[in-house]
Amino acid sequence: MITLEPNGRPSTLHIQFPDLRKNAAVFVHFDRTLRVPADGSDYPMPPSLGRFPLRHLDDVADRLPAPIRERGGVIMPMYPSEALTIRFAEAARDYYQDSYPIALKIGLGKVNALTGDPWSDALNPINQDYLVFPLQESLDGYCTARGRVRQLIAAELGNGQTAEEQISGQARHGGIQIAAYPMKASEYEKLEIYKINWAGPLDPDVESALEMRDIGFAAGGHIRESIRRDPYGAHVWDQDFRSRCFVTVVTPARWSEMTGEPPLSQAPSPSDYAIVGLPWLEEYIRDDALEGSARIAALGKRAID
Amino acid sequence: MTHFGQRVRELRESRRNDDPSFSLRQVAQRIGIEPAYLSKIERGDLPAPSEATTVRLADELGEDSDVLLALAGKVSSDLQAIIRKRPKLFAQLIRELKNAPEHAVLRIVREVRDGKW
Repeated sequence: MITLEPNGRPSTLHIQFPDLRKNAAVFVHFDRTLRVPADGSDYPMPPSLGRFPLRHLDDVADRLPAPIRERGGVIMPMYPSEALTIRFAEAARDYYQDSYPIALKIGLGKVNALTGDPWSDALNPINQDYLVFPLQESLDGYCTARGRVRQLIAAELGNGQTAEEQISGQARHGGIQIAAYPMKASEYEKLEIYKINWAGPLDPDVESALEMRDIGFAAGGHIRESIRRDPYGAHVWDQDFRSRCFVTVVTPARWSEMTGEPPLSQAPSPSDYAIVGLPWLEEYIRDDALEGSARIAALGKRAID
Repeated sequence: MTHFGQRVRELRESRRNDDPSFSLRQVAQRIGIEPAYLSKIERGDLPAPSEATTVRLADELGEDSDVLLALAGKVSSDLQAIIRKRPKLFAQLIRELKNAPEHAVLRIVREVRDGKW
């Protein structure tokens, strides 16, 4: 089951499998971050600048066309051209309990973020198309090579900038798709689980508003990030217990209009970043990291900058 | 002293034990009312203040604003608006859960609905 947290001003998806185990749970949140230049160089992972707010799509459904209403899920605002980082955090209730492994598929406009393949609800056992939590703490882009991702940049559907449009030729979906699969109970019992340090949730940033088309994700600059290879094997994931969510992304103006809430604060500029002097997150490249999608690596650089 | 005034005083005095900035005068100043007024409220000589002031007082003293409002015999206006918008639905919900144990009430969570896509 998936719930929004915290009450009042939610910004986190709490994915849990309470019928399985109390600690079979993960927090997923979508954070504002800084754009790295799309100049061919690799950059370290930029820091998170707070979480985008999330609301139940049903709460604003009367303002949406039927095909979008049908998706269910949640809705979230982003400014076109700003960057996204997706974070996965431990949600086990007992701090001292070990993290229960969960496989997570991430799609952007129903394009798989790791392989560039069209979305499917099943896990690919041959070409890993999912992340393994808690090994993977974040996803900063489309995986395009070992140790490298292309940053997720919000772009209005219809301009041909999103990976979805450049690959499929159509602007049908946009948004972010998530499917979570817990490890089978029988497999979990076989494991010797080691304790994972919980980094803890970041303080929500929020606030401030624009207008109209739905948003998908273009592939921006390169970031050094390794997608961890599944050490357990595809057979351990319980695909009967799947939990899915479609995150519809809209512009802040539309968000404000639909939710009646104050607009999203302005996206920061790179100089804002330099002034604040926030540290960049460094990450080393792992030998066993996934190879990624050559297809997305080859996507042309459109006028996103 | 009224329950409301008593509670405000209790909260303020207990904070003042650790932090001298919780004197009557300073708390009153911070929330934008006259110290004499706050004093009368604490002693029960005057009824509880407006919702806005009560909420500021709750924030200042680290008390839940709904709890303090309830002591003042009030329900926050945002809750009232929610109920008034769908009175039958929420009235039913609240009456049915009136005597339910805490864990049963908290178990009513709103799940994110997964649809067709």
